[in-house]
Amino acid sequence: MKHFKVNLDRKKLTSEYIESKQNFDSILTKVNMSKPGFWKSAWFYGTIGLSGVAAIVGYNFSQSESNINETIITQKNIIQQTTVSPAEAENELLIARHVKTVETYSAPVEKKVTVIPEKKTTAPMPVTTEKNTDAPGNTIESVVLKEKTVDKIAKTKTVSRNGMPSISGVYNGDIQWENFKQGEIFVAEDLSVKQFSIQYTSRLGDKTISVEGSKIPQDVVLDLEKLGLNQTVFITNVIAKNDNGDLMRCYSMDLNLKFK
Amino acid sequence: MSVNPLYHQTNSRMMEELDWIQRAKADPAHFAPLYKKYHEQIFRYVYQRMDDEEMAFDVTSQVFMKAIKNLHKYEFRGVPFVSWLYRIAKSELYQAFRDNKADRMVNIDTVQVTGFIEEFEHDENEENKERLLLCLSKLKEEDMQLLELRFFEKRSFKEIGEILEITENNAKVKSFRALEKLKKLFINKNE
Repeated sequence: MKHFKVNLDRKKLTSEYIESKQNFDSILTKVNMSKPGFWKSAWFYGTIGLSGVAAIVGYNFSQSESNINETIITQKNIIQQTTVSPAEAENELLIARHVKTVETYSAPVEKKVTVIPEKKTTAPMPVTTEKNTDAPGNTIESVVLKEKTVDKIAKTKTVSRNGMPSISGVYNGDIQWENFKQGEIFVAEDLSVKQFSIQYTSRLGDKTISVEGSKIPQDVVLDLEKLGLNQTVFITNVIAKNDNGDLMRCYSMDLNLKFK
Repeated sequence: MSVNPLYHQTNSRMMEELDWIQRAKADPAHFAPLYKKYHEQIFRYVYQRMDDEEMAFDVTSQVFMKAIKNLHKYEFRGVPFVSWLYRIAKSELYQAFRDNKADRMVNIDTVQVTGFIEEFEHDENEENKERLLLCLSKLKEEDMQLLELRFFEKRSFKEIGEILEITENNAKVKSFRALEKLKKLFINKNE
């Protein structure tokens, strides 16, 4: 089998002819054209890669910072009152006749309830937290929260299911009033609850209170007791501390209060 | 057998070449003297193995382009720069064959044919010439390469070794074995 074609006595090319075909400039041009762009170079990819990593790290860091800076209205802060219906507003006035000030939870809290008892709101408009001016002179400055202390949580991370918080052994669902009012939030042996938020409905409307510690504040207990109705209480932002001093965010709790 | 004197260079020549290479590494424009010096050699090496003249010039250009691009990888190992160019040329040439851009061709002249026949101690006649050409066409690529480098182009075993990336001794042994194979084929055909 033939592997090659064989040429005998092919005409030889002269050196002059071969030299005439030299074209170094075209080769140089082709070399320069075929050079990869700077975006294909290793240093470019390296720089972009490092910048990307730095951006991701920076973003994650800022995210964790924002979590850290999440405002937790502490026990020092207070009562944020939401919209109250006109009927409740009237009711509020009636209460206010008897109560001059609302108790505060702790020393730095400043709460004011200024009521003009002689005049009632008659308008069907809702009463808001700050001011509800229905007519001249008919002003309800129901509740004011004054100072918001923001506690920074160094690091929070969600704990496992084992770290489900509970009150008197109940972490979700129905709980007897007696168990609730005397209980405190428990997560695990090695975790102690440092703060939490509680949402409930009082006679003054919905309230969200942030609490330091693991116990349900006495004021909240009184509020709930005054209303005396079965309701769902939401306990959120439960921050617990472990033996190493690490802060962890636990699961939230929905508890249905049962008054006998 | 005389060898191609182009390959054999004095130390001062090689040092001068090395200086060009160093400068060309910094700026490819300084590759020009090397291009001028070796263009013809590389072209003849390529054209010897293919039929199409234009394609041979193209492949030669490719060889120099590749050399300039990869010059930063070149390391002086005490042998002429051209042996590195030949290795690139060999690679480019076979790439062209693989891409079907060109056909493998063996170019030989009557004087060389006569030399082989004399070596094989046979009569120099038309019939034997034809027979030798037929035998050449039936050789394997590896053997053909060695015969071309050694007997057609008259290169030293050292140079053959550097082009084929084998030792000088290995080049010597393989060249003679290739010649023996051709002889065997030729004699068998004659019988």
